[in-house]
Amino acid sequence: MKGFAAVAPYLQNPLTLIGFVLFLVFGLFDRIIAAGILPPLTTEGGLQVVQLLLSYGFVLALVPTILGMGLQYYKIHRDLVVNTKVEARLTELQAILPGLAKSIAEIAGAARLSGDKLEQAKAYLRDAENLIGQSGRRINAGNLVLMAKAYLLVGQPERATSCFEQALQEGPTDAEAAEARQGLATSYQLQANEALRREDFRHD
Amino acid sequence: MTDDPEATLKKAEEFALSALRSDPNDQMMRAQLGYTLKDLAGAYLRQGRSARAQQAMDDAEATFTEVLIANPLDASALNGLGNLRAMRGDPDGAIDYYERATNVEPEYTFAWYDYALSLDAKYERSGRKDFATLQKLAGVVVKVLELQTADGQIQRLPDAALKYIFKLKDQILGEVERVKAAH
Repeated sequence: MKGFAAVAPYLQNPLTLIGFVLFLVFGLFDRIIAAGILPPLTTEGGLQVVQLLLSYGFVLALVPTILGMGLQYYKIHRDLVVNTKVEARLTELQAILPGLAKSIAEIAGAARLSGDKLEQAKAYLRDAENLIGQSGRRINAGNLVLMAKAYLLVGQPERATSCFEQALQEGPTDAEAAEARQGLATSYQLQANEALRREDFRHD
Repeated sequence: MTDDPEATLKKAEEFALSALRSDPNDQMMRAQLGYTLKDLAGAYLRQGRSARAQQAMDDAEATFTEVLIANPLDASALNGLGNLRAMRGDPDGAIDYYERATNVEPEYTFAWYDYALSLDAKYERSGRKDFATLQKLAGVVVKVLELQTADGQIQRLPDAALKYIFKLKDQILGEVERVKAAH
């Protein structure tokens, strides 16, 4: 058991896992045959076994393949549903934050929001966060970049950094990756500004 | 929340350079890189690493100059160059850049604020005797406060900076009145 625990982490890849299960099943068959538990087969019996193996082997291979594809389709569909909902929230956010359509550098130079608009923007962001948190689904790079830009506008550069970094991990398009890199330069700069201000405050 | 501004600025520099490799014509990102390098110079100065600070200031200056070559009226680069002059202890040089930056962008609060700091430094350097600078400083302080209280989306100064400007206003306006009365 101790030995298996050491090997277990290497079995996470589905291909390795399938190979391992086949290894166990056929290893068991091999043992059964070697132990002589099974009586020798007649020619007719042997033919039936081969036919069974061929037909059910095909079904056995087909079932996990179809189930796997179905599961993957379900996952992709759920990701899509959540992303569509998040996108809808962000589109609503865009209506009250016209600056969201601007480039990262323009956002960095723009004023931070204040008052009602800030509270409204924060509420939309919270909605989007809740949707993501509850679903546990993966958010696409485009939505992550939009969320990050909104975080910059509401003065939360740490959260923006985290979204931009995630966006780079989610297979972004070239344009999305470029925007995420620009965004990271800006969000780190803003975080440093905050830290420098705190230092100044301590020195005062 | 970061507690290591130098490391965070290094990351900002790394991503700005990476963004500029993708789009070398993005002058806004280049100006931002200039500010990152300027802030790095400030961090090195605080740590007493003057050689590294000088190098970072030179790099920042070269970066802002590149932006101005592409657009001689880039207020952000002009303000950045003013910041560097101020860091090098040259308030007159800084004032010249701030005047240009605020002429190009009259609502550029941060440039007006930096302008006030350099005028204050110049006034202090004169032994608080240069009345022309004092008058100019009074005008700039009033402008900063006007911009801060104006409607619409303008850049908001951090609380500590605003506190400093209010303190300066009380000091300076009183002093202007006293000098005028004495004359």
